[in-house]
Amino acid sequence: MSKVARSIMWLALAAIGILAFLSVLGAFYGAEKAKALFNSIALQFYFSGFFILIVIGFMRFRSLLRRSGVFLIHAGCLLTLAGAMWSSESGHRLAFRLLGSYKIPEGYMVIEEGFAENRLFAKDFTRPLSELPFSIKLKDFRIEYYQPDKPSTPLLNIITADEQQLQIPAEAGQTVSLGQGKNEITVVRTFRNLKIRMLDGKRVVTDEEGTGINPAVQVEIKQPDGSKYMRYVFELFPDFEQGDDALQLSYVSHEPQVIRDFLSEVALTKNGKEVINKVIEVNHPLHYGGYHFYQHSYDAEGGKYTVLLVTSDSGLYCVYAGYWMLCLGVIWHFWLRHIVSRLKQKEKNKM
Amino acid sequence: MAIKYTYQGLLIYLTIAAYLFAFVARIAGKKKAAQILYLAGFIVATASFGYRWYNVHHVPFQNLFEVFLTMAMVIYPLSIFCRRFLPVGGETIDMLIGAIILVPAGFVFHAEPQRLPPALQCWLFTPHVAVYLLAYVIMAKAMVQAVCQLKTNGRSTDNSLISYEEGTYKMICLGFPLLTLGLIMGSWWGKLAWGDYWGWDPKESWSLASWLVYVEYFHVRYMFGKKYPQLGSYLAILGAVVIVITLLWVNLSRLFTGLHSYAT
Repeated sequence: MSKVARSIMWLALAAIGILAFLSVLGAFYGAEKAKALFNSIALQFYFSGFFILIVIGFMRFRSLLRRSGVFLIHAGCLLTLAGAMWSSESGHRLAFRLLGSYKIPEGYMVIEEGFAENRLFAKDFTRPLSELPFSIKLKDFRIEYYQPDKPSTPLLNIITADEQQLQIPAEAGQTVSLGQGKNEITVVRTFRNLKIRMLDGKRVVTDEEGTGINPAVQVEIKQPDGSKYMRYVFELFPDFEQGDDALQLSYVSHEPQVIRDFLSEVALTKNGKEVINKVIEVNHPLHYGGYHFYQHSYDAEGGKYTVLLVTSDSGLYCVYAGYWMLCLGVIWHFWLRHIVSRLKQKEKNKM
Repeated sequence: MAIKYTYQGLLIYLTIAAYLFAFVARIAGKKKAAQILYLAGFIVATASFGYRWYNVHHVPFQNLFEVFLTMAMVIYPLSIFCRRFLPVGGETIDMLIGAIILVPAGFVFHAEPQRLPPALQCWLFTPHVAVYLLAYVIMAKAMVQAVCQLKTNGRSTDNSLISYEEGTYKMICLGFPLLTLGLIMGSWWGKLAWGDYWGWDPKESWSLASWLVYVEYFHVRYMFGKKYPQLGSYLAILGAVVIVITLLWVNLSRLFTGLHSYAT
């Protein structure tokens, strides 16, 4: 290897080593800080230098051009680097200076159900960034849950004064003894929506129909001397205590539901005409006008609005082209060409 | 540490026992018995994998428990493949690695079935994890070859096998495309799910670092040939160490919180 070729190889080793080191450093910094580090001016210079080094490698090492697998790998890296620089914030600014068209690299849209929106906001949702030349209307937002494998059993959890923990199904008639000479607890009744009404000056407990919910369980506590008293345990008010028996009771009427998906049904409108109708969900973004729209967040309390992440697609297809070349290159270079040459050798030996 | 008193736990412990007995038999020179026990371990590991799949209703790749379960299953066919087609040895250590891999699955990691969160419901979920875990097992084998190269100064005692330096190189050549596919599929999936093909999440950063260590290995080997075999061996070991950090430390340590925390 000549002196020049050796120097290029040393530079390549140094460049790869530095990038590996910076990656590890970025992992310790966390995603936000690492992003800032890799988008810094110094690192832009570093990536430009890396890019130039690969180009020089192509010019100096003819084998990079002759061997298809190695060519694809290095050209793939080159395209990926170029695409990444193009899609960065600096890349967007440079594209604006050179081409005059400016795209917001990243922004957020908050859209209320039944309303249309075209404004993009920064991550803090207060600073407006830009307006899109089209608007997106949120027709419907919904959350889908997994169906439970089996109906969940309502449970009564008991913690005694001496820290003993017990759990029994919260079904009428279920009884548990807390030990010899100690209390006995019996489940009397469960309520979906417990309400207390005053009737003729007396307190009456009812399980009311309707949309409201107040899950609760009525328990009877039998003391060692045979005397009994009642307690109500509320699921939504776990701190509500009655009596001074030092028993901590809590009630779980059903297991928490697991979210399967959240979906925003949107309509994209341009110049007053509906252009696209689509359901945006995780892993299924909407692509239009050089931007991707992702299901990012939602109104967790009322489900009345959705938050979409909007990202520019500048440089993305260059990165994807690089990925394809890199994949094809490594598969050909490390696997397929050996298999092909082995098969050819076999054919030769047969003849 | 907790023993799992479940059918899943029983299958895991049976696999560990089979792999360990295979290892002991191999050390004792009982080659045939070792092969039978190794195969039995693989069959039980496959049953364990299938049982888990049936229980969780999706390919069991979601968390570390499931990934380790799968890695212990793929080690047997990989051993056979490597000896037959490359030809790289190391089955004896593979038996031990298979047993060691299952120890955290059997005693440390929680095994409660979990539903797939929305981000994981993507067709890339299975291939992305599959290529990565296969690559990790292959790179672990490469590390074993590299350690042998450093300890014995190169030559394998078995004449039917290639030298340890060549063995390290061939294993890395086998695993590197998988590592590349895993990285790229992850990036593509990141774009689909989170809106960014590269977010510098700690897991992403560590996996890029491990990929770059092997890139460095190839460039060193191209530059120096077989002149400094130790240098290549050290890089192969470093690559495996970075992989262990990527797979375990990033998920288990609170130091690296990020988008991949569901994999814990």
